[in-house]
Amino acid sequence: MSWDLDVVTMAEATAVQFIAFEVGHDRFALPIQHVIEFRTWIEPTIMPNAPSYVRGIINVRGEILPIFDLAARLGRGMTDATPKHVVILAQNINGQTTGVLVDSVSDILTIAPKDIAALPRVDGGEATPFLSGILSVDSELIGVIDVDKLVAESAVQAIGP
Amino acid sequence: MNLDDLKQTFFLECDELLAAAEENLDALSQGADQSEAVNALFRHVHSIKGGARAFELEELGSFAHAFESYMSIQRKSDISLTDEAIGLLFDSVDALRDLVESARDGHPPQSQRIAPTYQTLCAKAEIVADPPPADDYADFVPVAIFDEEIAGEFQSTYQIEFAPGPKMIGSGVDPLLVIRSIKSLGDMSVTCDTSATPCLDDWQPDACSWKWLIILNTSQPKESLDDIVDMVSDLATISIDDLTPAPMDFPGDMTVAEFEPDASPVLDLSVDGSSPPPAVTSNAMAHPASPRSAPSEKIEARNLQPQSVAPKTVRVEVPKLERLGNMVGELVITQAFLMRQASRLTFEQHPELFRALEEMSQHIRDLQDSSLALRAQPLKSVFSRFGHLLRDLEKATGKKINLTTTGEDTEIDKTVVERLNEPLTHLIRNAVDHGIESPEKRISVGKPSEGRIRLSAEQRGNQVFIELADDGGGINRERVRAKAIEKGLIATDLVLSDEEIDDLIFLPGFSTNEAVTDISGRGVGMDAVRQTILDMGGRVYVRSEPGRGSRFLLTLPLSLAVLDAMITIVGDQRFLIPVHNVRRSIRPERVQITRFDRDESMVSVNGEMLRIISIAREFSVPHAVNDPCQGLLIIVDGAGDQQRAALLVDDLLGQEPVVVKSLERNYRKVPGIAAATILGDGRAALILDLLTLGQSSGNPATARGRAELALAGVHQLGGVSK
Repeated sequence: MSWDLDVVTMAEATAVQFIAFEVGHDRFALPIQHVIEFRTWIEPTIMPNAPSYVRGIINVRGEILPIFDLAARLGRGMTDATPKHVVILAQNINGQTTGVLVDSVSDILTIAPKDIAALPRVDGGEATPFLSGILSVDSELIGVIDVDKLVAESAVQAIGP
Repeated sequence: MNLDDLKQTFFLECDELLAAAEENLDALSQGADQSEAVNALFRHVHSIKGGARAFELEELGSFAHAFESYMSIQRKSDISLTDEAIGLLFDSVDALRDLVESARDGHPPQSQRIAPTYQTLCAKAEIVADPPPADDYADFVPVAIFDEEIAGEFQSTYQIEFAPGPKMIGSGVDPLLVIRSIKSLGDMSVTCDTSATPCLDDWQPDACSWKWLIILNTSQPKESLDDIVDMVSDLATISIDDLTPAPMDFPGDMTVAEFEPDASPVLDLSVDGSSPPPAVTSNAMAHPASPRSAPSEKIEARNLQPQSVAPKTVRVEVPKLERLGNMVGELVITQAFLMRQASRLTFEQHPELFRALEEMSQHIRDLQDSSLALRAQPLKSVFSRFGHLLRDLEKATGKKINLTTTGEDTEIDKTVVERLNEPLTHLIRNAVDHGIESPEKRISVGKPSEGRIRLSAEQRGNQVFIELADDGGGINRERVRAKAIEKGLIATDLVLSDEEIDDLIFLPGFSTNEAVTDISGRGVGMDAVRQTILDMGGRVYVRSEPGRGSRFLLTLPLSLAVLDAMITIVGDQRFLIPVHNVRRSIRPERVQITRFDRDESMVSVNGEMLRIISIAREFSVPHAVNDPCQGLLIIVDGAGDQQRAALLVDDLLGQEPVVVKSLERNYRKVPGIAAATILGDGRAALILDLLTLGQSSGNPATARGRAELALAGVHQLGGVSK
C-alpha cells in the first residue's frame, strides 16, 4: 500500500503539464512552461518580406512580437481569424517570444511521462517538423508543438527564395 | 557578489582610471598645467595600485607602485617634465594597461616593453627593484620599496581596528579579503572581538557584528595600508593607530599634510569637504603602550573623491537603463492615447484636466530627455586615446603629426561611443599612412614639415557630426580608379565624377596599398569603417582635394533608442521614414514622371532624375496608390549607396519622435525594415531601412544587392536622363 503511494507521488512529481488547443479539427499542445499568456486576436501590422504564415507583428507591453499562423505553418491554409481566435504567446529556448495563432484553447492537460511518446519515425508528414512528441489522452493523440522548430524553421525558409 | 565579481568591478574601474590617465597624459603633452595633471595621474595610478594589492595581483601592484613612486618624485619637483619623462609616462600607462588586461584575461602581458619600463621607473624613483628573471617576466615578485620620505628604513607597527559596517556583507565584500590584504603587508596578529554577537533572535544574516583588532608589523609605507583601507572605507569603520616608536630624526610636529604636500586620496578620505585634515601627529607615537587612548586617525565612511571636480557617479547595468528607456517609451505612448481621448472633450468643461494633461506632457518630455541623457557619454573617452595612438604612429612612420581635437564634450549614446573607437582609429591610421606625406616631401611642396590632423565633433539637431581632416596629399584618384578596375569593382569604361571616385575607397575588397603595412593594412578596410557606421544608423562621406588633404565626415544618430520619424500611409498600413533621411516631399505633375517599364519609373526634380521606389510594390501592400501623380513622393537621401531616391506613398500623417524597438529580439532581421516602433494608438509600425530598401524584393530590376552594382547603377540611370 505504502509502496503504491510512493509510485503515485513519483508520477505526479514528474507529470508534465500542457496547454491543449485546436487548429481545424485537430488538437495540439504546448508544454506549459513555454506558454506566457493568451491574447485574443487583433489584426496585426503586416510584415513585408515575410512568409505568408507570419501574419504580422503586434505590440505586447512594449515588445514587438511576430504572429505565426499555425494552420498556415502546418500547410493547411490561412486562418480566417476573428476576435474569437486566440494568440498563444510562447517562448522559445533563446528567450524570444512568438505569438501563435490558433482556433481556440481547450484544456490544460496533466500528462504522466508514460503517456508522452516520441515521434514515429516517418518522414514527409506535414506536421512532424514542428512536433517534439505525441500525447495520448483517452485514446486521442495530440501533437506537441516545438516552439523552437516552429520559429527556427521559419528563419531557414525565409533565407531561401 | 563574490570575489570574482569584485575583481571584475576592479578591472572596470581600471579601464576608467586608465582612460582618465591617458586623458591627463594627453593634456600634459599638450602643455596643460603640469602639477594638476601629474597629481591627477598620481591618483589614478594610486587607485589601481590599491586594488591590485587587495586582489593580490602582484605584478600589477609592483608596477603600479614603481610608477607611483616615480610620480611622487615628479610631484615634488618644480622642474617641468622633459619630453623623455613624458615618454616614460606614456610607456608606463601603456604597460599598466597591458598588465591590467593580462590580469583580467589571464594571459601573459603582450608587450616586451613592460620589464624595461619597470626597471627605468625603479631607477628613476630610486627604489630597489628585484631584477625580473630575464626569460620569465611573470615570475617577478613584489619588491621591498623604500620611500625615503614616508617609510624610512624602519619597521612600523600599526594597530588596526576593523569593524565592518552594516552594508559590507550585503554589498558582497568579504571581511576576510580585507584582513588577508593587510596580512600581505607584513607580520600580523589578529584578534576577533565577538562580544557584540547578538542573540539568535536578533541575528541578521547580512550584518556583521564582529570587530577585528589587528597588529601589523610592516616595512611598507603607511600608504600601502591606506590603499587597503581605501577599498572598503565606504563600508566599514577602520581606525589605524600608529604604534611605531618615534624615530629620532622625525620633527615632533610633522603632520600627514607634510608627508603629502599635495592632496592625495589618503587625505581626501579623511577630509570632510573644506575642513582641514585631521593631523596625525607624532604625539600619537608617544603612547605606544596604550593604544586605546592614543589619538587615532579615524577613517569614517567617505566618498573616495579625487580632488578634481569629477561628478559623482553610480554604476548601473545597461539592461536596467534599457528597461527604464522602455518604460518611458510606454509612458509616451500612453500619454498620446490619453491626449487623443481628451481631445473629444471640450476645454471649457474640463479646464483642469487639460491643464494637468499639458503639464504631464511636459514632464514626460523632460523624463524622456533625462532617460536619454543617462545613456549619453562624451566623445572624450574615444578622442583622448588618439594622442597616444599618434605618438606610436609617429614613431613607426617617422612622420611628424599635430593632432587637434575639438568638441570632445559632445555627448552621444554610450553604445555608439564604444563602437566608434575602431572606425576612428582606422581613419586616423589611414590618414597618417596614406594621407600625410613624409616631412621632406611636405617641405618640398611648401607645407610645414609637421602634418596636421583635425578631429572635431559637434551636435546638429539629433545627429552628431564627427569630422576627421588631414592636410596631406589627398586621395590619388587615378590610382584609386585603376585599382577599382583592376579588382573588377567597376567597369573599365565607367565615367565617374571626382566624388564618385573618392567614394570607391569604401567598396568591399578595396585597398590601394600594394604591401600590407603594419599601420593601416590590418585587413579591416574602409568598407569595414563604413559598415560599422551604417550599422549604427550613420553615414560616412569623404571629400578630398589633391595636394591639400582629405576630409571624412561621419554622421551619427544622437541616440539609437529614439528617432524622429515621418509617418506615411501606404494602403491601410503605416510606414515610418527617419526624418534625417528626408529632404522634401512633392506631389509630382505628370510631365515630371518618366516610365521605363511596368516597375521602373523616375521623377525629375529640379533637373535631377530620381528613381521612384513604390513602398506598396516593394512590400506587396494591397489597396495602395500606384500612380505617382495620385500619391506623394518623399525625396530621401541614403537609399541604397548614398543615393537620392523618391519613395511613393499614399500620404503623410505627420512627424513624431518614436522609440525604436528591435525586430530581431523576437523575430529576425527583415530586408528593407530597420526596426519597429509603437505608435500613439498602441499599434506596432515599421521603420523603413532606406539602405536595404529596393534590394529586398524579388524584383530583378530593383534587386541591386551589392554596393558596387548600386554605384554603377546610379551612373547608368544618370546617363539615361541626359
